[in-house]
Amino acid sequence: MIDDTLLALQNSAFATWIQESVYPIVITAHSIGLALLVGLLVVIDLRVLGFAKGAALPGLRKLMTVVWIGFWCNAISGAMLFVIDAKKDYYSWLFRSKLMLIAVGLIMGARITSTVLNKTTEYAAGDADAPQQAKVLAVVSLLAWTSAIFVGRWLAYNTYGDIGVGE
Amino acid sequence: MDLSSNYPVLVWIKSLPPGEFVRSNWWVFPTLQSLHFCGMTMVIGIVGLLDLRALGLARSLPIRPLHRLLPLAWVGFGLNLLSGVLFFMHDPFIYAFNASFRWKLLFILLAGVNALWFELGVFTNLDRWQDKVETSSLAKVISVISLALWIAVIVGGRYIAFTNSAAPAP
Repeated sequence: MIDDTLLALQNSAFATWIQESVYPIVITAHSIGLALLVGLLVVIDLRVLGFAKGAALPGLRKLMTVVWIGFWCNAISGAMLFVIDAKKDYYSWLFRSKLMLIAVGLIMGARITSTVLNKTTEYAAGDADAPQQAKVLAVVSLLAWTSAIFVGRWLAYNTYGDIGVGE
Repeated sequence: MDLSSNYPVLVWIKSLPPGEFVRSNWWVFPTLQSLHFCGMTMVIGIVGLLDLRALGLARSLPIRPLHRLLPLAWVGFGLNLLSGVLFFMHDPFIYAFNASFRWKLLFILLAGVNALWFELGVFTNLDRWQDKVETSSLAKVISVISLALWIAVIVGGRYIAFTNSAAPAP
């Protein structure tokens, strides 16, 4: 049942169009979105961990707008990349791990936002130290995004990166 | 037609141990690519943040502490220089004549010159546009150029795989 849907997706005219007409643009957009999404979240994590003291934590909240632009850029380009390899991706533990790592990264970002960046009075001072608990979130965030990048890259290898494809 | 014998320097580079190491261990190339992406997020995350700040985003942030993150951007740059050199050594013929690769190198060079312009032309006068103050139009122009160049670097890198790599006949 699900296989029929997956095969219908990857054999659709939309999939053919992506593959033949826009594939280089889609993977380029996926890289630009990555730079925005992860690049800025890394900066936020670094500040939580104590780098760049002097920049007040709540001041970083504005960056989340750009982070979300990067996220949607990659959600859309990522969905397009899924469509052309629907069955292979669906049955790949690399792909499933990547989705889970992204979920972990996003949850860490959301929790850092709510527990630190949104506390505008509590952490108003430029050199305010983030709480220990937030530092743990920042470390988990850095690990999750780094792993998501590795898993995503290995996912692109059909010959030897493509582990766990169901038949 | 195999023209590699016309390019002895490239053949020599390819024969060196680092290239041989990358070619003979299947896991090295994807690992280097992953590191290349990690380094990219560090460089563009930090430089891009300074650019966005100069353009007026998150204006409450003082720029000086953000500027102190630049050594970490250099760590990312070093990671990418190292992995990039290893990509080249693994097969110079993929890169040496590839127009996308050449454009990418040019864009990195221009981004470097542009960053130097920021350091010398804007950052030395930083006290005039301290916290919450509107940045100068020069700073904004440099920042727009910086963002455009780094995006162009990504595009160039991604298009290497879709660009002709054939060596020209001598």
